[in-house]
Amino acid sequence: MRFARLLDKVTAMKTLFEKVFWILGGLLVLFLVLPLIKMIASLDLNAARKVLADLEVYQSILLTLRCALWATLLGIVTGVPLGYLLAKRTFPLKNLVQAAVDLPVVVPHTAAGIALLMIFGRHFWGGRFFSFFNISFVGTEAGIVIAMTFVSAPFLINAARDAFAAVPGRVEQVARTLGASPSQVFRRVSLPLALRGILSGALLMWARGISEFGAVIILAYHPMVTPVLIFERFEAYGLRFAYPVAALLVLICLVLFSVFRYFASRRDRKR
Amino acid sequence: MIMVRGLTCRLGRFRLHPVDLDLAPGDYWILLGPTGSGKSILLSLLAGLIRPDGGQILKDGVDVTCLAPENRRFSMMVQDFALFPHLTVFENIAFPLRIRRRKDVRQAVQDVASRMGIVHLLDRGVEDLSGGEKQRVALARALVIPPDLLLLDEPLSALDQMTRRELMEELRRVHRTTPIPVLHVTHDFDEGMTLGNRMAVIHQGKILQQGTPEQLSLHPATPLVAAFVGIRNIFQGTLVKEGGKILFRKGGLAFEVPAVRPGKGVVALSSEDLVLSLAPMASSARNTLRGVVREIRPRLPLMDILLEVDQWFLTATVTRETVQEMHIRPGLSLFITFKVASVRVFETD
Repeated sequence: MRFARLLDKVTAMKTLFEKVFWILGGLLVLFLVLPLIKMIASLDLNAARKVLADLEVYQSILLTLRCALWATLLGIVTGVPLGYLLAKRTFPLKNLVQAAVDLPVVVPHTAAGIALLMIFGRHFWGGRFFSFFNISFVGTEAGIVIAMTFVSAPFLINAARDAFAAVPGRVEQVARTLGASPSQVFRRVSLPLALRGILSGALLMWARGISEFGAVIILAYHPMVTPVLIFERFEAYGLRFAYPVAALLVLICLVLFSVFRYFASRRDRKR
Repeated sequence: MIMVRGLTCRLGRFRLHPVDLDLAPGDYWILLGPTGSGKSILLSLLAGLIRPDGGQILKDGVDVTCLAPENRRFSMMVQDFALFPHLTVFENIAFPLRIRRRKDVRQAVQDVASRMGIVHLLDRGVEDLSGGEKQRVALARALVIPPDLLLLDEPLSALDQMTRRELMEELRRVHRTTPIPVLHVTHDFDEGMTLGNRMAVIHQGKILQQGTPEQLSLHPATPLVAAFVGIRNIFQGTLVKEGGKILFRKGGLAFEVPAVRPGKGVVALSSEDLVLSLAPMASSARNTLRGVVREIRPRLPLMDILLEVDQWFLTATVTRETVQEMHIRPGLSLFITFKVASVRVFETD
C-alpha cells in the first residue's frame, strides 16, 4: 500500500530535473543497502547455526558490545559537558576546539591507532602513568575502549552540541529569574530538552565503536573484537568463513538499534 | 522599593547611558522604545542576566547589582513565553516551587492557576496551548512565588489583538491586587497608556524622559518623545518673529506658535488637536490653514485624515460621524484650525 503510494508519487512528478535526482539518489541507496541485504540473505540456516555455536565468535561479539558501551559511557561523561560548552558559551579558540573535535573523523583510523599508541604505549608517558594503576592499553580491553572512544567521540559531542544549541537561551534565562541556579537550569531544563539528541548521539557513538577496526587493531589485535575476527577469518579461511560472522554482527546491530529507536520514539510520543 | 542608580553597560557597539529609575510598590513602569533602543538590555540588566559596567541596583537599600538572577527574586516574562516544553502546565507553574523545595506545591499552583483562570489546563502539555493561554501560564509561573519585581519583555507582542486586550486586563488586575512593581518593556504606546502609571522613553541607549504617561504625552521633552507618545505631526523648520508673533515656517507652511526664541526648531502637533471645517473659524488665538484631503485612513473607532498643505502633510484625527457629516473625501479642500497653545515647540539650536 505504502509502496504503491510512493510509486505514484515518484511517477507523478513532472520535471526532468527531479527525475534525474530520483535516479541518482536511488542508485546510491541501492549501493548502500544491497550489499548488506545480500550478505544477510546468503546466511543459510546451517552456516548460522555453526556461527552461533562458535564460542570464539560469541565471546568476540560480547567483547565488542561491552567495549563500545564503555567507550560510549566515557564519551557521555566528558562529551556532554563539552557539547554544552560548545553550544552555549563563547571562548577563545572555540573554532579550533570545534575543529579538533571533528579531527578523528577525518584522520585514517590506523593512523589514529598509531597516534594513541605513542601516548598510551608501554614506553610513553600516558602508558607509564596508567601502569601505576595496573592499567595497560596494549592488547587489552582498556586499549580497545580508548581506541573506540577516540574515533567515535565526535558523533556524540556533535549530537550533544546540536541538542543543547536547540534549547532556547531565553528559556534558560527565564528559568534563572525564576530561582534556578545554573546547575539546576542544566538538570531541570537544558538536559531534559537535549536528552533525545544526546541519546541518539550516544547510540551513534556506540554503533561507531562496535564497527571500529583500524584503531583497535593497532592497539589490541587480541582480545579480538568482531571486526578484527572477521578480518582474521577472511585472511585465514576466506570469504565463506568470514561472511557468516559479519552477517551475524550486522544483524545484531540492526536489532539493537531498532529496539533503541523504538523506545526513543515512544518516549517522544508520550511527550 | 527598587532603585537604579547610574546603571551603564557596553555591549559591542551598543552603549547604555547611565540610567536612574525608581520602582516603588504600586508602580507600573512602561519602558517605551524602538527596536534596538536598549530597552531589553536594561531589562536583562535588572534581571541579572547581563553584568553592568557601572552603577547600582538597590533593593530596599541592599545592593543587588552583582547578585545572580536566581537570588534577586525578579521574575521575568518574555514575548515568546519561554515555557518549558517538556513539562505540563502544572509543572511549569510549579517550577519555582520545586526549585526551592517547597512543600505546598499543589495548593500554591492551584491558587495562582485559579486566579489566572487556567485550572482546566493544568494537566495539559504546553505545546498545543494558544498564545493567550501560554502567556497566562507564564504569568502564573512568574507569580507563584510573589517576586519583588515583575519584568515583562514585550509580553503582548506575540498575541493577536483580542487576546492582547484580554491579557492587558489580566495584567491590570494583577497590578491592582498586588503591590509588586512592574517594569514592562514595549514599543506600543497605546499598550503603555492602558497599563502604565509611570513611563520612560528610551532611544539609542539613553532615557530621554520619564514621568507619568500624562506628563509625557502633554509635555514631551524632545521631538523623539513626542513621536513615541503618538504625536503625528512633527516638523523641522525655522521660527521667525513677525509682527510681534513667533511663526513656524517650513516652505509654504506657516503658523503661529507659543513664544520662543527665533531660530531653528521642531514643532509637534497632536492629530487630535486639529479641527477640520468647511468654512474658516475666526479666532485670534488660533491658527487656520487650508489643506486638501489626500487620504482617509480608518483607525477605528476614529479616522485619520491626511491633508496636504503646500506640499507638507498633516494628519488630523476625527470621528467617523465627522467624516460622514462633512462628506470628507480625497480632493476636498478644508480649513484646519488649531490653538496656538496646542503647538509644542522644541528649539534645536
